[in-house]
Amino acid sequence: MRKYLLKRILFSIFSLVCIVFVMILLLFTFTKRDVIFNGDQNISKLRENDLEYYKDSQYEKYDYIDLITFSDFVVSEYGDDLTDRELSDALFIPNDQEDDENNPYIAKFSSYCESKGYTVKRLVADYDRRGDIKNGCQPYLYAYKDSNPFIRIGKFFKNMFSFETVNDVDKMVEENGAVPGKGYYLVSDINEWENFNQYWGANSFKLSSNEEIVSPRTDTEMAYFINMSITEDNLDSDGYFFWNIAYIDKDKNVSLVFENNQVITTGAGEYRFICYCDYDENKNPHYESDAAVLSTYVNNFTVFSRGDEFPIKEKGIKLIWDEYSHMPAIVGSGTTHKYLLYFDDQFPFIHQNFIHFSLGTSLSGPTKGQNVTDVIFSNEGQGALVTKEQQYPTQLGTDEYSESAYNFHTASFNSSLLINEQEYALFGDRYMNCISYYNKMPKVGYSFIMGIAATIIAYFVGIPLGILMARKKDRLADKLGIGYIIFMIAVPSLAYIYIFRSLGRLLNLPTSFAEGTGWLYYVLPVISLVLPSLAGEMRWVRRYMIDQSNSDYVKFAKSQGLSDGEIFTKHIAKNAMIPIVHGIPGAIIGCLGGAFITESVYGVPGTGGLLTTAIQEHNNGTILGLTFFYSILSITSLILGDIMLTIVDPRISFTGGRK
Amino acid sequence: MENQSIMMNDGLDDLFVLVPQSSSDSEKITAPRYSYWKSVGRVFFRKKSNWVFLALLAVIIVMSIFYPMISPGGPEHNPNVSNLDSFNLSPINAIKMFGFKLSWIFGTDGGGGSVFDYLWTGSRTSLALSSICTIINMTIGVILGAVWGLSKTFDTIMNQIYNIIGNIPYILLITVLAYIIGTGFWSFVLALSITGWLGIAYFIRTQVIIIRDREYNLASRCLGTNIFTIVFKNILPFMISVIVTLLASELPSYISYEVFLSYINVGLSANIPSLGRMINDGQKVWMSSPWRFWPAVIVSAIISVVLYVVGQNVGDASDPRTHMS
Repeated sequence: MRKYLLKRILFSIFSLVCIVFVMILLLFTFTKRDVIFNGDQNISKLRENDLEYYKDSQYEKYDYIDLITFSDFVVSEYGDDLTDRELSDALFIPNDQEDDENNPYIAKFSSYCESKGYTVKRLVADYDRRGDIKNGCQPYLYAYKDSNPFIRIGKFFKNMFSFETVNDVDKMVEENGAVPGKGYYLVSDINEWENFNQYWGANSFKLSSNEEIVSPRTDTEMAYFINMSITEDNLDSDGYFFWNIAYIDKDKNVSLVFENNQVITTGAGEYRFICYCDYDENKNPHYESDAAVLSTYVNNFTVFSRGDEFPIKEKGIKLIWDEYSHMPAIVGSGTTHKYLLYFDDQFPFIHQNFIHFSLGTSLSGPTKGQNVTDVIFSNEGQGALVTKEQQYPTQLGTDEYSESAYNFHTASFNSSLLINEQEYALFGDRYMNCISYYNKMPKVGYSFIMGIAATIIAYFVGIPLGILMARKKDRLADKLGIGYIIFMIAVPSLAYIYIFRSLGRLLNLPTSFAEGTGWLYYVLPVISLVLPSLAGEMRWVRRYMIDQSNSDYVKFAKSQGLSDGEIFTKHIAKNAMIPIVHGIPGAIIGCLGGAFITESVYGVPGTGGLLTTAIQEHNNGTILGLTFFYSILSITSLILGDIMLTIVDPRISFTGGRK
Repeated sequence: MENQSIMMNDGLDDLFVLVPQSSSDSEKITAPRYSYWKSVGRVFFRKKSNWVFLALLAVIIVMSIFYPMISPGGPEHNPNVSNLDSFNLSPINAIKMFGFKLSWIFGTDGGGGSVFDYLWTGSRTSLALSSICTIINMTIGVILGAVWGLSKTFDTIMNQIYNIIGNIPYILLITVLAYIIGTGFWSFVLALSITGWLGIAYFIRTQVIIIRDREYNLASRCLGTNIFTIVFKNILPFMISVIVTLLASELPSYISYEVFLSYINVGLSANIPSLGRMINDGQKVWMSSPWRFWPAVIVSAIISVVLYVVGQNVGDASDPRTHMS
């Protein structure tokens, strides 16, 4: 049996790899890619080169292609060795290809890209009669590559498991571009405020060749990256520079977006910004920033200007007494997370951060950037924040308490250059990125609770009813049961869920999870889930019971003088339950997957809608991750079902000799 | 014993007729005539309720085939597109506005089109879709399933394929196919049948495994019968009742599928009327304009119930054990 199981598991793993491969073919190779632009307003707003580049950058965003821009290449390869002046020269893309000799970096870029299998794409600028660049016609130089399915599948499984080490922080800091002495990521040929002002005065944010277009937050917005240096002259009398932009780091993570578009930074230095501009029909061009608002001053935020500001005193892992849980815990220094192993009162009560399991990253929609495993299993963003009286790490051991929603056990290293100084003081170190407590369960929690309740009810009610129907075959009880089964098969699920919802409303039962919480909210969705599976149970139990009641052993039992009741409960039911038992693991595990229509009708924040939403959003990362997750569930339930079969019926053997 | 013979002798004159000896008749060997399908028909039509169901089915099929020829529904056949007053009229208001005509007895939809016309054009689409898909999937599924159950090498390969394809989300497959081949009727048929046979084949495979090791098959194999003859002559006839029962739940299931797929917007394209689209559009307004919701639900329920019940009864009738009485 053990050998059989091992073989079965190996085969299953092979199947999983094949599933991922087929999915990759479906998602990346066979799909028509330009459907991602359906309903994208930027397509009608942008033109010429801008449009071309926007399309390619969107393809990169949806993971269809790998894209390197010329400026990224120059900065990452040579940025450390060049001065700002040289860098801005190096980034210049001449319009005439014959002038390329003046810029040796272009040749280097081309040969680098060709050696790596990229296709170089060059969009030349177009000028109007006055010699200005026409709208949307500035030059672009970048290269793209379509990953082949084998590379994608390798990447998927390579990223599946990651381990934390004490060198994580070093890597993170370095990736952030915070190399001591050099500052961080900068691409800019606008080194002076006057220059910048001049461009800005022209109502245009098409500042230079190395700007990039990023996603706007609303339909009427346009968003750009802007790279610029801020000199002492730009600062106001208090030493602050204000603008309606937010700071982003090298990896394009927006560290801080001020909702009211207000403040940015302090001190001179070189920064990269994301800029949001509102759409205004009366202006031409339509996009214009509100202005360089020199207004509110927020003193909570400060800039750690250089890479020497990441104090990790000593790297290592040790066992400590955890003051939060009053239990032992393992903490790390230099690792991404502070707590590597800890206990708390949240399910499953013991948590670890040594190994991370990842099913890929969500590429679009509201979950963008999140790990797919977190989308399913974490309650981050589910419902509202729960604040309570807690102690920050520096307050431990004192009588001081603060209002906070943070779960301090989840602290991870913050390598951002812009941090909240007050919080930094409270945390005492840079392990200050915490996940907050939310008042709702993870998505999978809702689906599982409702699913498991429905499954238990369906089995406990369906099996006796099925037995009853079989015993009273062709009598009233059987006919009523068959009528019910036919109704459930015949009426589309959408229709009867709505019917039951309206019946529930008549009884004053709550019909939408969005309105509140409490066990009453589960009643209607659970009923909607129970009814069809109840019909299924009744149908199959009846079928198996009737089949069994024609067997020889039943005739034998009858001839021995056993009563009908005895034969049914002791003999027939036992045998008829064997195929039913086979389905139990599947029914339980299947609850994790959620139920799409029920959940969407009752507004349940569960897993049911994840896949369909992801498909509609072309969120390939999530689709792949979810399919993998569902495949693991279904393959596991098949194996467990077979194991259950051998447990309840010793006659069944998967290892027995060939018949 | 003696008593019995006496009793028989008593009634001899009433019960028996003397037949003269005929030398030609005594040469013939006869058994009562038995035709399988005739017996199926006899058992099926013995049940009176089946006549009712068949009549209902006939009415729906006739309406779906011929009514759209007289008065086609759907957005392309809507005379009131620009007439705002005609939008979303209840049956009473519609008849008041346009006068009494069959088209208006269920009112108008959100675009002023006739609900009654749309209903029958839609059920024509849904009936055609489900019957074509069922025919394709059942044919492929039954044949492959039978071979799958018999051949052990084929079984190991097919089990893996089933594990893989069975786990690819159905919606995703249909979405991708919709991108590649469009959302017309035939592309939708292809999308539904490209993997739809797999579940049927798996079901048949399990059934075949149950009967493949019976003695008569063993004997047949020992005599060197080839696998296809075993499948078509020995196994499939044995499973007719199972197959018919399966057919009975397959047919209505495509209507349900179609409703679900319309609900998540990967169904047929919007200009093809179908019951699924109608139910999905109707559920948004089912409280305020029930006439746009219930006709579609009721017709699709009737189609499903009738197909299911008739299928089940044919399935029962096709079991030769029921032919004896």
